[in-house]
Amino acid sequence: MTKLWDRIRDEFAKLVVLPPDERERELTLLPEEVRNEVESLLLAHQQTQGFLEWEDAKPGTAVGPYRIIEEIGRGGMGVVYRAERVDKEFRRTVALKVAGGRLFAPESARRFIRERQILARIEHPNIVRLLDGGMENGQRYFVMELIEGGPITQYCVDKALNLDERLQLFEDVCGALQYAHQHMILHRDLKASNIWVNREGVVKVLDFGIAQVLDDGDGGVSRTLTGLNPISMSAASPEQVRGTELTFASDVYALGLLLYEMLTGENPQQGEGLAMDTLMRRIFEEMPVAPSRKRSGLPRDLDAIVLKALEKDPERRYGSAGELAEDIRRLRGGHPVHAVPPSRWYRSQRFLARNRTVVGVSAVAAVIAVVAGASYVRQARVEERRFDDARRLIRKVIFDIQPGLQRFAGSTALRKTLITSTVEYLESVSRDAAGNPDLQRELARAYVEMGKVLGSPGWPNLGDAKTGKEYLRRAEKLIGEALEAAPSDANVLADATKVYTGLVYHGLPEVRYAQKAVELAQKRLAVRGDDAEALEDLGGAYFAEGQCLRIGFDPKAEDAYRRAGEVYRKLAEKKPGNRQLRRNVALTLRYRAQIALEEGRKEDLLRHAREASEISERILKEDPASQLAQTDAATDLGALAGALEVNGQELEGVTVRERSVRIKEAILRGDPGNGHAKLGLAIGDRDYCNMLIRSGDLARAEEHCRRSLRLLGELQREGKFLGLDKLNLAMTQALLGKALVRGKRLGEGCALVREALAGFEEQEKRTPGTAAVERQRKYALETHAACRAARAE
Amino acid sequence: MLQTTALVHEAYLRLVDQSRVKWEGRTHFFGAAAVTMRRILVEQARRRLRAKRGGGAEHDSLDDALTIALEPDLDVIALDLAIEDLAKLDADRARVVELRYFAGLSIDETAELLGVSPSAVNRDWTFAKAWLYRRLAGNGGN
Repeated sequence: MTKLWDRIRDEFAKLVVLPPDERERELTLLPEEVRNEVESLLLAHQQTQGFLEWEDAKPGTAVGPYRIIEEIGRGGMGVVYRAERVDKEFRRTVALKVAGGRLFAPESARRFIRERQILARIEHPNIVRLLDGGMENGQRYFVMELIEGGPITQYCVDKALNLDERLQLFEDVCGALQYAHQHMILHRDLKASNIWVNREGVVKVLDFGIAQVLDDGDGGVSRTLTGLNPISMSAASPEQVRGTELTFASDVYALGLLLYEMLTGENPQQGEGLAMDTLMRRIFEEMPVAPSRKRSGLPRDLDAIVLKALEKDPERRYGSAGELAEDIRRLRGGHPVHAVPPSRWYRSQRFLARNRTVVGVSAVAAVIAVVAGASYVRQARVEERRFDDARRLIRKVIFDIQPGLQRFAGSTALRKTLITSTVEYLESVSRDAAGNPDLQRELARAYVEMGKVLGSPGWPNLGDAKTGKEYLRRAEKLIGEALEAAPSDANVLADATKVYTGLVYHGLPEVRYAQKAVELAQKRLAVRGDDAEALEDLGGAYFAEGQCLRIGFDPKAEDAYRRAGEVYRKLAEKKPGNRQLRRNVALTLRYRAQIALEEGRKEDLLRHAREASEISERILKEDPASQLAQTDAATDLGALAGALEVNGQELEGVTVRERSVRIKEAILRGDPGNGHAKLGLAIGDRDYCNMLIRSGDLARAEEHCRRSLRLLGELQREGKFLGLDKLNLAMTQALLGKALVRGKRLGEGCALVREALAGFEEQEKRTPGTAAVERQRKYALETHAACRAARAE
Repeated sequence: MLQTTALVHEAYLRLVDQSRVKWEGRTHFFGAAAVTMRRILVEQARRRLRAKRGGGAEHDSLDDALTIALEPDLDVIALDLAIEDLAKLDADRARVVELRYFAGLSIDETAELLGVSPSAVNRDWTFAKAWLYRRLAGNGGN
């Protein structure tokens, strides 16, 4: 850096804040070489509005019906503004929280709205009301009542509250939590800065359930996913950091930390200059010093209460906020409390001993390490060679982080980096895995996941099927080695079943893999007996076998699907609440119906199609908002309608077809940008139109054919499904033409048929020899002949 | 603004209770994240460019998701080179850009990280933006 450069920078900083005329004056006073530079930089500066900047909402910006006044807070999950809603009569000031991270999938948006409605129903004097919320450009916002006041810990200090007053306040916090827990809602981010006391001295818990809603933005990601959760270390329970399931006891732990801080002024998991290692030890291993040793005069029973809430093992804590509140009440009333003073140290230590591996390299450290270039972990490998840690990292990346990232738009690059780092790591570990079947089976599963993420045909993937297949092959090799070393080990057999099934689903659809999976699943059942997981794996393996055989048009596919169906049926009877199992039964039936159709077994076709749609319709009834359930029901009903037609039961066929079309309408309504949904309705409309023509209801036939035509036209303009667009369009034109000709509207009808014939010809040129084109053209020619005959008359 | 930047911010930075907990190596981590993100984006952009020229278009459709998230006018590669030029003249100011833009840190966070005042960061940021803009707009510069 030169002196000149420094001077330029200083002068720029000085001048940039001045009004234009003063700027001009000051500029003239500068030496020339400085002046030219500063002047051109100032000129550039005028263009930099929005350049490289974050899109923060500025005062005056409208968010939905609200107008932002000023920023009042900022945290891991978003920015909070003071905002107002101006209606005709009144003006209301609110707190508006704009969530960071955007949602684009319509399904996510719907879920967000649904969850928000649940939250809006929570009404409790100590919980800040959620008034409203919405989405704007994929950005979610929440509107809450605005609280004037401050955090509870601050309030305790400012008002110099005595012990009983503090406990009273804390009881109110517990009351709010108890109410929420009764409504099955966890807070999950219960830090002191989220618990306020307003000017009237009333406790108000902020941000209730928002963590949950935000966290659960995607249908496919479970509530317990924690790899990407916003974790405030000052309120995080061990299970939250570790990434296992959160329960009411997790909120109880946070309450314990809060009470600790309200009593002693310190949070054991917080402090200036707290090193990562120390923090992790505090969260996972060390019990905090008893509050009475930090502050004299606190009763021993209170120590017992706080420490019971802060047990590392969730099962040893109070089961709910209500139980904790009850003990506080008893203490205040001079009754004996339920918490038992410190003989529990011993047990607590035992719990830790059991979970030692978990504490080793924490999940959080591992995650950070991946992003920072995996150096941390590599070091751990070199120095410690701890396979457990390796396994944890792999699981974290593959099962938590990776799927979690999928829901962020534009995360492709980051996902790839994560995967590359993980694969690099996997490879270095694989070299050490020889002779360790446990590690080999884990690694094999990890490689399957890698293959899936990179290029599985049935999943959102990164479009690199070639590399994906390489990983699948590596998985095959590793699992083969594990099987050789431990051929009767139940765990190896379990993972091997999953690996071979995975190979089939994610890029290597070879019958031998599926059959191997079946064989292994059966062997495992023999080794370990009838457990549900083993059965489910067996079902999956049969299903995979069915899929492979079907690709090769092998008639034995029917057999495999039937067996898969039997297994799933057995499981579904045991777990009637599990919709996935019933859906699997329906899927096997759907495929069996198709095979029956191909083989000309009409009655089987009808029987399977009917049963499949009964199951799918029941699932839809139970879960009416699920797009998957809607799609399933629409598909199976469509197939049933076809089956009824084939069996000459057209009357029932028409009503079934109508049900299918109604559901397809609902799908498109819920997800208007979804091309598949649009195409689905267009084809459903056309099939329905066809049936209506045959039953003589020409008016409704016309209506549905016209809509089909409109939707197909839209798709063509949107550039979607262009491969067969001409065929699709021509088919509908031909049908509509037929309906019109039947209704004696020859002009438009015959013109449409002529257009259709031209369309078939174009499609034929593009994809010569397509059977469907030839068949459809024949139908159109019949109508064409009718047109000619009519004109001849 | 870059979604990927938001992503790092969302997914990782918030693992830390940003206002309160400090731990050793935090500076290092944020720094590493910024460098990583910068590298990812530049590689991504380079690959897209290659694809446009005809080679290896295999990944294109998936990258479109990212393209949407990119500031349309901003050529990431050019920005990368411009930041490199700035770094030659003034490594500290370039670092501020990296942290603000690629790691998505706020002014306050950047200040805390570098151990300087927020107003100093703001000053550096304003200056660096003007300098980079001028460089990218192609009119002059040293």
